[in-house]
Amino acid sequence: MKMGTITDGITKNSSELESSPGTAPFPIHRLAFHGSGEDLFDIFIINLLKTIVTFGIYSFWAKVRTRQYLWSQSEFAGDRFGFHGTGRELFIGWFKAAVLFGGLVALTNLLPFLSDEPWLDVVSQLIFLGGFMALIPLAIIGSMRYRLSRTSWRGIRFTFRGRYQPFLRLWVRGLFLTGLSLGLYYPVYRTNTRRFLVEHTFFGSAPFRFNGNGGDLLVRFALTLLLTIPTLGLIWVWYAAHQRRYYWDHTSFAAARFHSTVTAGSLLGLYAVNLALIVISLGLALPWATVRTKRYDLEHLVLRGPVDLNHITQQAQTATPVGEELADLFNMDALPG
Amino acid sequence: MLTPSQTTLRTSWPGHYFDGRTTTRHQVTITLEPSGLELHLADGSRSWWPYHEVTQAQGAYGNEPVRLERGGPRAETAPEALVVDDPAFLLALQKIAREEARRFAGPLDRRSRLQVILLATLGSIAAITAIIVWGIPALAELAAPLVPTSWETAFGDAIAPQLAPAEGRCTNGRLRESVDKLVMRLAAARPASPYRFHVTVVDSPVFNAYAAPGGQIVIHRTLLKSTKTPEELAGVLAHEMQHILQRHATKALIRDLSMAAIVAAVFGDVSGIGAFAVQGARTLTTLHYNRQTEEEADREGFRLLQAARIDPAGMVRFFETLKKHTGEGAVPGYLSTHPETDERIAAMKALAAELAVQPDPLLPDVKWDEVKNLCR
Repeated sequence: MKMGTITDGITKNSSELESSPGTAPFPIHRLAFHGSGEDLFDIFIINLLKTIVTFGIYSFWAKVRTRQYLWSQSEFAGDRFGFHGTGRELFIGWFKAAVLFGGLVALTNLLPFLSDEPWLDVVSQLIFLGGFMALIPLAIIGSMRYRLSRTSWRGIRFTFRGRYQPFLRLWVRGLFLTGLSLGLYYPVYRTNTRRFLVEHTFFGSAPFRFNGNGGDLLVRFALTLLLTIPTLGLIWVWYAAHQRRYYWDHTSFAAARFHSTVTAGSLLGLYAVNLALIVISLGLALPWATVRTKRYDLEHLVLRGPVDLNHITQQAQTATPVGEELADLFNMDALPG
Repeated sequence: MLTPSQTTLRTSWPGHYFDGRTTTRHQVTITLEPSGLELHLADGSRSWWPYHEVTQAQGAYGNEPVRLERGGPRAETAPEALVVDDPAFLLALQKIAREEARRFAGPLDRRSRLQVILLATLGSIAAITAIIVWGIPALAELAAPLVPTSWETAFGDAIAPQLAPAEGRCTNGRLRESVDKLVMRLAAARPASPYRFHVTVVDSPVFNAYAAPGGQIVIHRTLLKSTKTPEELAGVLAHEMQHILQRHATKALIRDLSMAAIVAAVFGDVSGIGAFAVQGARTLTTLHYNRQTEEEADREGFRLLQAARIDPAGMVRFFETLKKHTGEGAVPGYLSTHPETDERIAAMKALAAELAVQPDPLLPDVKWDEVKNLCR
């Protein structure tokens, strides 16, 4: 029977068949999040104590514990994900990132003291701006590499194989054109970035694919820009939901395609309740907000179609967490949405 | 030899095995032995996992299958893994493996969990309190001497034009001369000080006096006019000079920075909440720290007056004037961050009782009632 080889051991309750008249049935693989706010609060409060007592040094180990929990509670097609990073490597990565960024800050601050030439001021500011611009894509690529290389499912690691230079070119060109077009180019730029990140992501030996086109988002983006002020910015939730659906619906793995069921209304509800929880509890409800977000993200995403898991084999990759910690220094998330 | 408890324990468990090379899920039967796990795969092959080679990756929390891993000590090589859905497997493992299996832990029961949370919460509160009350001030005391005084002076000189704009300054020669003499007399009592003090009188209706780091002191004219004798003004100046000598502004900056660093570490990458928490912590602790700072400036200022052989009774009298102003609600700017005036007066009287100093007259040939009203 064909199905047996196709879904290979994927449990029945998490994969089901969807059939429409005239076409062959194809399997649906679901994602789910099983974590609870209480369990995460346990981790959070113990992490808090240890972080305070160690003057912040424990925060790297705390990050690992939190991730181990979040990854372990995430399920795809009946099996849990695993996080394999260590606090030690994050600590070293942070140190290197701090030296890299601190070096840039120090260099551009000390340069004007070399002589009284006024142009030296301008040059050092340009160096800082240029250096900063070059570090952001490095941080994005680095944190993708690190995070994926430390993530496993069924014992097989994910990898990110995108290289820095082509991404830097894409990034700088996109920013330039976005500025030149007074922002209108932004969805194209954003989609190109997404394509780069998705298409260089592998599960074992198998790549992810992306066939979205930024042009498809242009009209909606322009409309959102126009309606920002009359809707007090709320229109952006509508745009974010659409963009997320568009991106996932154009992402595929092997012969299967992702499908997102995110809607603006439910997304707005998620944000509003999370904000209220955090503000009212003075931050203590952060674990519950995190669990709500994770559950929402995973429950609104499915993979539809046959996945041949038998041909996927382990392809290990080395990756250091420097970019990951650099991304943290800049307070950004590598792959939002 | 079997003990009664072992005879009732289940030693055979169904699970899944992943070899770390492919995604294939192998059905496996696991037999628990006192020194390791025996794996029986569906194809008939067997494998032996001694406990000391096995680590637990999942299963310490509710809703989590038990996941044991073996091999792959380096993060880049994937370990073999064993997944058992029934959490009771861990209990059986703990009983059979004894000593070696102490590190294989399942979810805590409700009671021990509450205890852990309670202890961690109390511990966090105690640690935060200790850091705010002792840790951060101690750090500021240790770090402040490492900041060169020239940085303070450069900073003070840079902000002086904003604090006292040139067009608002009282430039009268007689006034300046009297004030400068007063400052010199006080400064002479601390000859080793690295700072050069400079007092500016500003024509402002707000009752206030303050010091910028490095030596700049600003006195508002309204405050100056309210002093009845030069000794009273000397009291105010001694207090402000001590803010500079004790490097209070530098210490406050170090405290703010270390607080922000700790909050950032605790809240990690959630920057919005971090900023919110920093602001909250600042508001709460500023009051506490300011009180200590003001008390120190009072105490050391009083000693400075005594060292300069200026009658400290003037400082006490000035505070009594200040108290009257408080009653009228005329001095909010000066008082909002300062301790209760009554307490301050009492503290100074106690200091005066400790050490009696024979004062030398201050500005004997200056008509203070006239001079204090001069401005341009």
